[in-house]
Amino acid sequence: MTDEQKLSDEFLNALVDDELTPEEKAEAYVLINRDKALSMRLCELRKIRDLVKLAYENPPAAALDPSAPNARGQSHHGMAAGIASAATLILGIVLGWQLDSSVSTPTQEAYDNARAGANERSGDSAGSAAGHPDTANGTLAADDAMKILFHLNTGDAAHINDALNEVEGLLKFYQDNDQRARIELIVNGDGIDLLRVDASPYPERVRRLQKQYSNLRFVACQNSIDRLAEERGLAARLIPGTVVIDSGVAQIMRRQQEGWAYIQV
Amino acid sequence: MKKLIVISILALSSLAAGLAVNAAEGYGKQKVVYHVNYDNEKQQIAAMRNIQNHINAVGKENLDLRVVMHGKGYTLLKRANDNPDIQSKVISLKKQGVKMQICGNTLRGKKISYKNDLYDVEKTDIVPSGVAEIAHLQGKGFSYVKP
Repeated sequence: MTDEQKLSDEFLNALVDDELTPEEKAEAYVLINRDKALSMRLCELRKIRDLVKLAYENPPAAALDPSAPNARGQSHHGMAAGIASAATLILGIVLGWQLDSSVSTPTQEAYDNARAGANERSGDSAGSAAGHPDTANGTLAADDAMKILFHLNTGDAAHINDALNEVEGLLKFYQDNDQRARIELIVNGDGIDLLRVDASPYPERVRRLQKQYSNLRFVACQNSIDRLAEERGLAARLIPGTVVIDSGVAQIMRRQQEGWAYIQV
Repeated sequence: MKKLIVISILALSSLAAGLAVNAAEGYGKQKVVYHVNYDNEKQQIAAMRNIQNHINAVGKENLDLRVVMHGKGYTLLKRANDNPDIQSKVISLKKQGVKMQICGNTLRGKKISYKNDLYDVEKTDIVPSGVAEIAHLQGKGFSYVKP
C-alpha cells in the first residue's frame, strides 16, 4: 500500500465505514495522528457519514397518495373508484393543510397554565394533579415532558457561566411549575472544556447540577474529543456522568427531528 | 376505465393547480422566533437588520415573528431609550407586527423596571421565562433563529 493510497478519499471512506483490516486501521491511525490536514478530512467524512445515516434513518413522511392502489384494483367500477380516488385525494389535501396549521398539545397547555400562573405567583399550583401523581391533564406522562436541547460551543468561562445560568434557570422554572422536562446540554468545539475534569471552569457546579436534576444530561461530542487529541495532543478526561455521542451536529439534528426544542447559548 | 383515467387526471391537475397557487405565494406563512441574549450593540443592530430582511423577503402579512430577549439581551430595549438608530428600528419592526418579548426572570433577577428602564414595554410583553418561551414556541411550530 502506497502513501497516496492511504491518503485517498476512498481509503478514508473505507476507514470511516469500518471496512479495513485491523492492520490497515492501525497504520492509518499512525498516519492520521501525524497529519493535521488528514485528521480534519477524516473528521469531515465522519460528519458526512453521520448526516447521511441520519437522513436515511428518518425519511420525511412521504406524501403518498392513498388512492392509487384503490384506483387500480377497482377498474371494473370505474366511476365509483374515480369518485373515491378524487375524494381521497381531496381528503389528503385537506389533511395536508390541517397538518400545516399549528396543533395544541398537552405540553403546551401545561406551559400556558404556567404562563398564566407565573405572573400571579400563587403559592400552590398542585391542585389538578393531586389525584394523579403520574399524569397531568389526563395524558400519559411520557408525552407530557418538555424536551429542550441547549448547545454550547465556546470555552469562554463567562459565556459558560451564562449558559449554565440559563440551563439551571429553566430547570428550576419547570420544577416550580410542576412541568416535566428533559434537558440536554450538548457541548462541542471549545465548549467541551466545560466537561473536562482538568479544564472545566465549573466542575463543582456541573456535579451539583447532575445530582440535583436527574432530568439533565451533559452530552459531549466524540468528534470534538478526537480533535482535542489530534490538534492539542490532549486526552479528554470527562466528568463522570457525561454522555458521549458521535457527532454534536448530528445529535442536534436528530433531537430536533424528534421534537426537541433547540436553544443556542 | 376511460372515465377513471379522466377523473384521475382532473384530480391530479387540481392538485397541481393547488401547488402552483402555493408556490406563487413565495415562502407562504412563517412562524419564527428570534433569540437575543447578548449585550453586544453591533450584534443587536445586526439582528434587527436580519429581521427586517426577513420581513422584506416573506411579507409582514405572512409572518408571525417574535423576538425573545433574556439575560443580557434586555440591553437592546435599554439602549432604545437613547440610541436613535436602535429606537427607530424597534419602532419600525413593531409597526410591522413584530412582537418584542422580554423575560420576567431577567427583569426580576437584574432588578429592572420595565416601565422606567426599558423602551416601550407593556406588561403583556413580559413572558415568565425567556428560554421556556422559546422552547414553547418551537413546540407550536416556530422556527428558531439566533442571529
